[in-house]
Amino acid sequence: MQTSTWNVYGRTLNSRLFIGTALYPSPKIMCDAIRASGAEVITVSLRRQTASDAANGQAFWQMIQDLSCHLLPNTAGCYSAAEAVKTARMARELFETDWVKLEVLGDSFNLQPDPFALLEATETLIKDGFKVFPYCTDDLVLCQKLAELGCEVLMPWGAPIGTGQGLLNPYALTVLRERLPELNLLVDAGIGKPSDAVQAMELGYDGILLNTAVAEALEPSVMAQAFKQAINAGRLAYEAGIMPKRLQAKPSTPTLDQPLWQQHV
Amino acid sequence: MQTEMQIWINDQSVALTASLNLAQILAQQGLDQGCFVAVVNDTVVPKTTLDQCLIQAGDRIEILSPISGG
Repeated sequence: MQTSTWNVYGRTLNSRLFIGTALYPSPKIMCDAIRASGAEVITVSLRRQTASDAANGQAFWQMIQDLSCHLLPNTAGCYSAAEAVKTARMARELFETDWVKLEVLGDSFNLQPDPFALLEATETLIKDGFKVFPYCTDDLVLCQKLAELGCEVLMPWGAPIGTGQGLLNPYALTVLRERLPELNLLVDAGIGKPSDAVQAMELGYDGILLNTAVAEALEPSVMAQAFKQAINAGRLAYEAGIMPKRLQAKPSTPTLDQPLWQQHV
Repeated sequence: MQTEMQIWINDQSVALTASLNLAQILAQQGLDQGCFVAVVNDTVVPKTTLDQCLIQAGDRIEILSPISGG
């Protein structure tokens, strides 16, 4: 059974997995893994070109086009709003999309987003016509302010990028879901294994963005399938309605008409 | 003797002996192949207007191309 479709900035998507294009052992393994994941949105980036590496850039671009996915360019490596805005504008021209995964980092140790610069860059880019996908922390007030600026999608971290630590603060992510019911929420970063993705989807998250967990698996294509199934299972569970936890045990086998000696008060 | 004009391409100093537009400079440097975006003094130059962008002394040109990203 497949989960329901969803809408992201006017585009209808079937898959709830966004996947990165970095860190794979080879371009072919990357393409195979992306196809196996069923993802319809892939993240890409840009860098300075020299005459000698123009051919490599072109080869990568051709592979990306052959995947026929929606492109979500990022502003990875930016540490100021000005840098991120400039990178986003370059990406729009290069990739011919107004979607941008907005990363503005504040610390080089844990690559934590800078909430103040993120708000500044988001405001500028939305005024400039971008559809912003901010990579943010799980801070509720920050997320509310991003929503007030016009973001229809928020991408709070589960854990720092590339750590694979899973959801470090499920409470904060739960509160975000509760307080921002109309927004598309994706957990971005920190997902290490499929059960992390299931957990996020069971919380009611609309999707997952990941890269390292698939790219650095021993078998990326197999792991991509595992994530595809996990995200589907987590979403189906959320849509089906998860039973509430309770303290007291409750027998699942009916006790009506049991012999008297088996009936306990 | 021709007057040299210095510009910057991806932070590398380049000397020009004639005033050229951006499309001509990129072709001269072998940077006009494939998918790229050009930026002059922090402003993106649309690909359709590269030949209308006249480069001045001291201009800073950046050329970027797609790479993988997470």
